[in-house]
Order: sequence, then C-alpha cells, then structure tokens
Amino acid sequence: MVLGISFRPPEFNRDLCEKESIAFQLLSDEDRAVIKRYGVFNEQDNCAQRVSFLVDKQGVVRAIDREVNPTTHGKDLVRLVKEWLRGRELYAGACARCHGADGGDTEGYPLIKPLKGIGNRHSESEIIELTAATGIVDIAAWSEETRQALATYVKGL
Amino acid sequence: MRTLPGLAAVLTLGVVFAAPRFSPDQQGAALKLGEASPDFMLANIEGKTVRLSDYRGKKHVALVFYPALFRAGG
Repeated sequence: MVLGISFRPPEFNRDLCEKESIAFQLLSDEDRAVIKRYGVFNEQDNCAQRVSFLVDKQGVVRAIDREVNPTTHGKDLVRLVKEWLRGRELYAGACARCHGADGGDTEGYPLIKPLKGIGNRHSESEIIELTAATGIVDIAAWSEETRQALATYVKGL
Repeated sequence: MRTLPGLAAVLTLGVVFAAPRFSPDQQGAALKLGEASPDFMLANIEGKTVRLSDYRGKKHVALVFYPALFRAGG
C-alpha cells in the first residue's frame, strides 16, 4: 500500500489524480503536523521533504529513503520493497536462530550483540563488512544483490 | 514570481506566531529505523479519513512524503 503525503488539500489532490491517473492514495496534511512529526519538514518552502518510509505490518519503520529521485521513484520503491522482503527471508534462514526474529533476542548466546538499532549506527556497506568479518555466514560467496537484500533488511531492525 | 518567496515567508511567519501548537519538539526528533511509526489520521481525495493503523496487521505501507510544489525541478 502506497500513501502519498503532502500539504495539498483533497481538492487539489483530486484534480491531480484525474489529470495524472495516479493509482495510489494521496493524503492531505494541510497543517503539516504529520510532516513535522515524521521529521521531514522543509522549513524554507513550508512543505514536505522528498522522503519515503517503509513501514511493516506491525507499524515499525524498516527503511528510510532520503535520496528519492522523482523520475525513478516508482521503480525504486518497488525494488526497495522486494529487496526488504528478500532480506527478511534470508535473515530468517541464516541469522534469526542466533540473533532473534527481530534482532533483539540473543538469549542463550551471550557473546552475540543484539542487532536491534544497528541501522542507526551503520551504513549498509558497513553492515555487510561487519557480517563478513564475523566469519559466521559466508556472505562473500553470495551475489551482490543477495548481500544488498540482507543489508537492507538488517538496516531496518 | 519574485514576490512569491516574500509572500511565503510572511505566511510562514504568520503560521508560526498564530499557531503555538507547532512547538519545536513536535518538529520531529528524527524518526529512526526500527522505531514505531507515529499513527496519523489524514483526509484522502474523497475527504475520507485514512489512518496508518488501518493497515496494521494487513499490509506493509510505503509513506511517500513529497513537496507538491510542482515547480521546475520540484
């Protein structure tokens, strides 16, 4: 489900949907309260910054794209979601047993640091390096895409 | 179009002074990965209220914030 959010009122968005045949929902945040709550307010222009959040079914933020390219945005979003879902599968198979389903539970494995919050401390390439350095999972043997998918998922833990 | 930035500045100042509910801490302590997404209620094009929590347990959601200024490059 894609929800587009801007300060524009419903009438403006209705017009836009008709002209541009937009398939997803456009929501109106006229007082910019939600834009501000999400930390994406552009003060200078009194509007939202171009930022996308991927929120999972439990309502947790799992990916944030702050370098959105308006021309390729649709494709990029689809690719991000697919990557995240693929990463989730990989994680379940290769990592969850010791790191816990959401990266928080390492009971029984006292030497393992929780992964929760790792995405706020490390970039995706750092996450890949750190994982490879442990030698636990032979991710060097994985394809670039597969490694990237895992990193995208782990970054959101 | 030179007057537009000036006008926008005046309007912005007007909003800031007239609406004290926009306190600094409401201006998003940056939302982080792994955190719960704040719920919200916003109107769609039909004027119907949509809540983020409507999708809880049902679908992953992509929240796409955009400027909507529709000027060249925006």
